[in-house]
Amino acid sequence: MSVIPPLEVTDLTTTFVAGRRRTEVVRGVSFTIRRGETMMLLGESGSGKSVTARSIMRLYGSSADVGGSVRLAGRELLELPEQQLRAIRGGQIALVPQDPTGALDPLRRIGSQLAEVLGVHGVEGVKTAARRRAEELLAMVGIPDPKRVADSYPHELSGGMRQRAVIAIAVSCDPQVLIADEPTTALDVTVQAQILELLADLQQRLGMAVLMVTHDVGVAADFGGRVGVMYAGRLVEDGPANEVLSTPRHPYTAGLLDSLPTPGVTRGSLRSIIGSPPPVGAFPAGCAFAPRCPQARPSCGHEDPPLVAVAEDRVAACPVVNAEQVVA
Amino acid sequence: MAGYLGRRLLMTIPILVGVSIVIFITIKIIPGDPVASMLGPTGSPEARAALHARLGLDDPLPVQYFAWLAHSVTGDFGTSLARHDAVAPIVFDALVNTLILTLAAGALAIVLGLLIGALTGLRRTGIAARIGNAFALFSISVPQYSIGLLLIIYLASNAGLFPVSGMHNPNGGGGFVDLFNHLILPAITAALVPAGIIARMFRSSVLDVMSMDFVEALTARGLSRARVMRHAFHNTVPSLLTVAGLQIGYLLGGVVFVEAVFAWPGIGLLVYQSITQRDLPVIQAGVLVSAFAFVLINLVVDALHGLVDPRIRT
Repeated sequence: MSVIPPLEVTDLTTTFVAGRRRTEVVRGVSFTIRRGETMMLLGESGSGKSVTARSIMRLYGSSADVGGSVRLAGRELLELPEQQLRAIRGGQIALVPQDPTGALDPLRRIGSQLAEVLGVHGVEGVKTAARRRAEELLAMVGIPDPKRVADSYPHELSGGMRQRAVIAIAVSCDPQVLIADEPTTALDVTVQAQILELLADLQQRLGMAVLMVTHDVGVAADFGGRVGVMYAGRLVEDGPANEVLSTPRHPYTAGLLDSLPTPGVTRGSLRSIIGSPPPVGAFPAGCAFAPRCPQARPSCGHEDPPLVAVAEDRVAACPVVNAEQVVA
Repeated sequence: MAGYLGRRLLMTIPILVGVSIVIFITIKIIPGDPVASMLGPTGSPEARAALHARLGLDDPLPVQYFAWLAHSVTGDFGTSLARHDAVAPIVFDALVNTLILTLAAGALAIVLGLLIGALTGLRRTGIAARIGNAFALFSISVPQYSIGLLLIIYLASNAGLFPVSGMHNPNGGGGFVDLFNHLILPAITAALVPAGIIARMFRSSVLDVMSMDFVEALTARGLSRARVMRHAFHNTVPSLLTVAGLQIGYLLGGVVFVEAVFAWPGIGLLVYQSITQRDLPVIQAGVLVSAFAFVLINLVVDALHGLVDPRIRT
């Protein structure tokens, strides 16, 4: 008997609707995350990685059409009425947004914001119990003096502390799936590593499936798990992080890796991908990366390459590179 | 919080001193000799000189200022030149009347401003939002006295729905209902400009807060729309307090036109009449009391602000 995965996304499409204007941002993204596993969505801004994460929780409401299928432990989220969805958000699936300052209500104490979520999800309705649980959760995310922090307002805490508090709120109801959208981007470099370590630790202790969105190849490499590289609203490559990031099978992934600085190499040797990503809503026909691709052929401009298996547990959407490799 | 309030209280002292100096200097700069208007055209030069000396008008300006300040602080504003009566009760009666009008207009402006601001902030398109925006713009742009006159002509004089002017019916009646009837038109007239300003400020505040990350973050935590909106509204309160406090303060000093048009016996009308009569003690006291009330309202607003927003009470 096969185990039902916590999160199964199939052919997800997101189209923003503003009046009569429709903007397609995510175009058919599929992936599965198993219990305790991590999936990294890696890509430049505008690639649709954050929109993918938010579409899963249906946070856009009526401003976007979300198509395809999102199954949370086998249950289809895209057809769920808003009221049932509310019970799942923050309960079975939780979000850690990019900026912890914006994610907290500036006028409410941390403890009260935690207690509110516990109360809404019926975990702890009694005030004193909720308060105790809030302090436990703050201690669990590595906050040394949970009592003081629970009584603090967000502006009284450092950025790292705030992000820990946001993570405590996210894991407060023991979610099966945790979505972390660039959880370290707004933080100091020194704090980034601590937060990633905390997320990895919590994932192991709570057995959560984690979907992490990042533009930082270093973060993707550190955190491990699977990595899905996104470009122009599509997954262009997907596989185990260590393999994808060491032997990329798509020219875009290769370009991303080439643009990283390497220690010990002299200045000026940094290569960037020529051109800029296509504007959202005006993705070119055929392979969206073709106009910037050093290996593009005439056929790339009109043939839309599908994701095909290129190795065990790996898929990529570039027939050019992978045909060569097969021949070689 | 106590420290914040204490500091804020201490800060009002130099403000009040500054205000009193400005008022004193303004009165001194105004052309015209009070003694001349007191004695009339028949006063002899000797009598004028004697009265000058008796009133202390020959003393150096700082001495005059401190004498005036010392008396004012004890509630002694002197004697009205035109009414030959103590100034203090005249000014305080007028102040109470102005406060009634100001509070009614302020409450109306806040309610209207909140409704229109919320409507146009939450729904940016559609016919209702357009009407709301148009109303806000209209109410800010139209001069108070013209609206006041139009209301008097059409609703009071022609239709006879409301009394034309004053605060109470001179032929009996009186009481709360009578006051209320007299209050409606001047309150509407005075409320229009602040309602428009509050509506526009609240609209931008709603837009600001609704685009803040925490609205999405709260939704992602599974809170209901109503709960999310409660957090959002809470976050608009600080800016709402600031603009509402300022507007009520302005109303207090700025209802002169409305009081003049509707013959509302408030401090604006009093000062306006006293200027034409060269009644300097009343002008001085009226302006001082208005300024004092303005500072006081701002103090209350700041205290409330500190109560709502933890970020400023440090």
